[in-house]
Amino acid sequence: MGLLSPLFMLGLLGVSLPILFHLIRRTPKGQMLFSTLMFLQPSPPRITRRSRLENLLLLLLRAAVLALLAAAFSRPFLRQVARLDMGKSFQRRVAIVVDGSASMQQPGVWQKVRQTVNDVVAGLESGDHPALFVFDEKLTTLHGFADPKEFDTDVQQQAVLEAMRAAAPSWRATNIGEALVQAADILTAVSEGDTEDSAQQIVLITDLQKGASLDALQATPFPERVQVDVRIVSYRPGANASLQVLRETEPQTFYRTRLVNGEESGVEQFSLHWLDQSLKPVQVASEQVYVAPGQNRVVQIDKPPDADLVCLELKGDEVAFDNRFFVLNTPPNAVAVTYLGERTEQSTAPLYFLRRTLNDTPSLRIDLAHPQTADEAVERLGREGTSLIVIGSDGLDPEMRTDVVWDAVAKAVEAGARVMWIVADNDQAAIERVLGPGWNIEAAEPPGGGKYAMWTAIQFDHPLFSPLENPRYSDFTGIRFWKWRKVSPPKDSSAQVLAKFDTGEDAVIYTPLGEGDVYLLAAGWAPADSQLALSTKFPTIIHSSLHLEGTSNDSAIRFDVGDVIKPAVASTAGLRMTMPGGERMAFDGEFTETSRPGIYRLFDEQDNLVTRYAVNVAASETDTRIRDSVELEQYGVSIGRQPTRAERLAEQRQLRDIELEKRQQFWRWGIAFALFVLLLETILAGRTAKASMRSVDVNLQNE
Amino acid sequence: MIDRPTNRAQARPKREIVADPHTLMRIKSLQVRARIVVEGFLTGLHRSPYHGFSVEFTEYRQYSPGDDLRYLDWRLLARSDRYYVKRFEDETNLRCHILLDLSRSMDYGTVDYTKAEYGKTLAATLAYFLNRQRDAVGLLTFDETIDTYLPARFQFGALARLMSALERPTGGKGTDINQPLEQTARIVRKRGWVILISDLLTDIESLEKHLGALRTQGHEVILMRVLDPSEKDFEFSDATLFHDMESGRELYVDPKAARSQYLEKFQQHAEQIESICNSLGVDLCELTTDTPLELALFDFLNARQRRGRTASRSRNPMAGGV
Repeated sequence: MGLLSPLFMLGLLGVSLPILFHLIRRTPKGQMLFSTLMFLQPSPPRITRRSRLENLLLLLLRAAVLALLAAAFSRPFLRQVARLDMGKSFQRRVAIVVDGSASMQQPGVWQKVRQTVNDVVAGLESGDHPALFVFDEKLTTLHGFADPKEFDTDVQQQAVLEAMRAAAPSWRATNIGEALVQAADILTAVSEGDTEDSAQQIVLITDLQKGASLDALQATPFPERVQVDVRIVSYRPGANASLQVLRETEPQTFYRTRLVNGEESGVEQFSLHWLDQSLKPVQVASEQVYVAPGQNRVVQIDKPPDADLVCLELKGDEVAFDNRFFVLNTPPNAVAVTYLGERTEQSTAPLYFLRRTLNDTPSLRIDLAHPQTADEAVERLGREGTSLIVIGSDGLDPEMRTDVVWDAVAKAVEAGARVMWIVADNDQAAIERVLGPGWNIEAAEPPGGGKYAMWTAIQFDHPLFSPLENPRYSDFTGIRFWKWRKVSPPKDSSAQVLAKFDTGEDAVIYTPLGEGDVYLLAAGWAPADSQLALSTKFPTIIHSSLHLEGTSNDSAIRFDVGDVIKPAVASTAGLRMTMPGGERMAFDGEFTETSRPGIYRLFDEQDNLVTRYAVNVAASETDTRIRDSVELEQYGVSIGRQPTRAERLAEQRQLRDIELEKRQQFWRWGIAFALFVLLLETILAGRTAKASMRSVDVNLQNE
Repeated sequence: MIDRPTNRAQARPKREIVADPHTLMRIKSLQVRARIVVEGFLTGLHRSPYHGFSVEFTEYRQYSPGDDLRYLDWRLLARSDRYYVKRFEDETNLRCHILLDLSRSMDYGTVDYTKAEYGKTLAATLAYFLNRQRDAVGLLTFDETIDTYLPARFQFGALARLMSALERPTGGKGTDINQPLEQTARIVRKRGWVILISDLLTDIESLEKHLGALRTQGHEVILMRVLDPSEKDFEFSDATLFHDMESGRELYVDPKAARSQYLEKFQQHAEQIESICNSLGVDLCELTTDTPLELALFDFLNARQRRGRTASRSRNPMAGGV
């Protein structure tokens, strides 16, 4: 005999009620008419306990009604011998996915993570398949699912624990979405051979910080069969303070630094110190900053005089992993630009647009000169460090069209300068003077009649156009050209055509010369030639001409841990990257091992420093407030726990019991009996009441 | 006209002469009960029970020209050859309304009869007594609403109608004394007497207001409170379920525990009524149902005497008598 709802048997306690009522009764018999009760207060009924039960039959009937009802509601059934065999097909795969991002370096968190993994492993049943993954921006398998044929529960569990002992948090950002999707994919893949009722469980151990990314969950539907059990491990959520040096938009003598203090932070007073490359504090006056909890503040920190000071440290915050911010304290490169062209500056001339394009930036200090005489020009071009020479020879004063000037240009180019030459109809002699014989310049027939030409076949792999390589920016069809020249390089020349007009003529020709190079533009950017100056691509092209090899300055580019560094160099042969710890790593065009914050230095074959890169912890990682796990459900993740084998067995047993009880339905008999007994009780009670009324009447009459 | 017991005003009749209420109540006819009470009462109190008229001679005055010749005493003129004019004290007939409460609570009684029966007998006695004096008597019975209203008349058959109205079986519910008092104030414009017979076991919040209204109209009000002896002393022994006759409410009460509180509240209620009556100049007679009715009649007359003649009479020395 079994009971489907045994809790209803508690109703048997109700049997005590009739016994109690039979033992206890009110003393008064009958009632008394009285004129008014307005002066009377109810007296508490005097209860007397009687040692002897009266109306035993009635009592038994009443108790029987209650007992029958309790029995009926508890749904009794007769058990039948039936074996419940789940078989060996049932498998529960548990993927333990541990957050190993930078925020897990908060004090004590990793120990808690290890403890949680231990707990999860301890809670596994014999037969459960565990695997351990750790994730930051990507998911890494520390211990995969074992082959079922060679499966041994204890060995697997020990392997998981060992893998966890060896694991440590990284410095990268958190991408929970990507980790869940990948873990679910792995689970789904390994469970393909499992039976229908096998369970797939992800135990996600994370701080579920607000800064974590969930975007990947939007891209793909999360498998319904995979349940995610979220275990949040955190150190005082929202207690973290962080700093970030903001990007400069113009040259300044200070860094704008944003300090963010968490809502739960117990600290309000912070100080900022400079550290050198070896992360030793230096004797520069520190700044005291007050930031209230839950607030953020931007302060101005003077740039230190020493270029070696690369790290700004925040002191006062107990969560230390994001308290250092690396910046390249590099002075801007000086770029000397010489314009040879029309004497007066007019709004229709190239110089007008050039001057407005070449503004100082945090990494460049531009010195634009406009010589008025041949002597001035020669003197200017003869200086060392001339970077860019722009020649708009269409308006060039004839007095300056001298071989002396062209020789000076050629000399400067050979010394390393770059020339942007807007070719004029009568430039053949000048070009041949600079680049050598064999060049042919002709005035092209203007299309006329509202027709125009466009650039095509642009070489986006060349550094001049590479910044515009992205399809979002690579559309040049909006730039119309209506006046150009036919420029033909010598046959054996090393000149390279970077762009052509859709009429077939060359538009941009690149020619290296000595240390420098020359870009010949068949059409200028002035309105007389084209719309190029009016395009947003124009400043990019001019600036990329300044940023070409040798003049690049990547200090303005910020990298987070995990970002890929792609240096703007023409050749990566022999380059090596030095990590913040000092170890040197080979380099093949792009560097992906930005595994910790610090200064990364790029050296060439001769061990000359090419450039440096500052890599920091991602700003999103510093927000340690906890996300609500409901957000995961909003992305379609099933939050929950798959039943264990024992629970599944209990569930099946319950289902079988329900089925048995449905077939037998003893409860109906119980209700029917209860009704019958109730009827008997009613009849008996009625008779008893009548008898007692009669005796009361007799008593009254006697009185 | 009654001969007021002026010389015996403060002395109650001797116990020997009163009829035992228990015996009296066994007589079925209300009128007979009333007659027994009244005549027994008058026998004990008066030298001549049949004396009295509403016109009372007071003095002679010498005739002077201009006097109404109708009032000239011709006999005296014949006897003494003097012209005298009779002067009368004119007493108008008393106009009295008896307001009888016949609510459920009046059906209560622990003696052989209920308060309602006692109240009816009391009303019949008063009516019979007044009728004998040729005073106009009206009747208004009420419970929650007004049940019967007979205007005050002195005419043939009025008493019989009143008696039959009183003998009608009653089936009242709750008590609302406000409505009959309001009604009386509205209907009875002429000054007179209003006798309210009730147990007053109800809220008395607006009692003062309505009694005051009657008093303002010039009525003399006598409040005869009829109570059962058990209501006054609450001498019950067994704890039992008390059933309110009016509201039907039931309350479990242990009299031993509840008696002191009951008596306190009852006394408080009685004092409130008394204070209202005192402030308004209303006479309050409290009667338990075992009190002989003669005593009630005596109290009534006593009250009348205390009030004097001012309320019910208007002096009109020149007015002619009947």
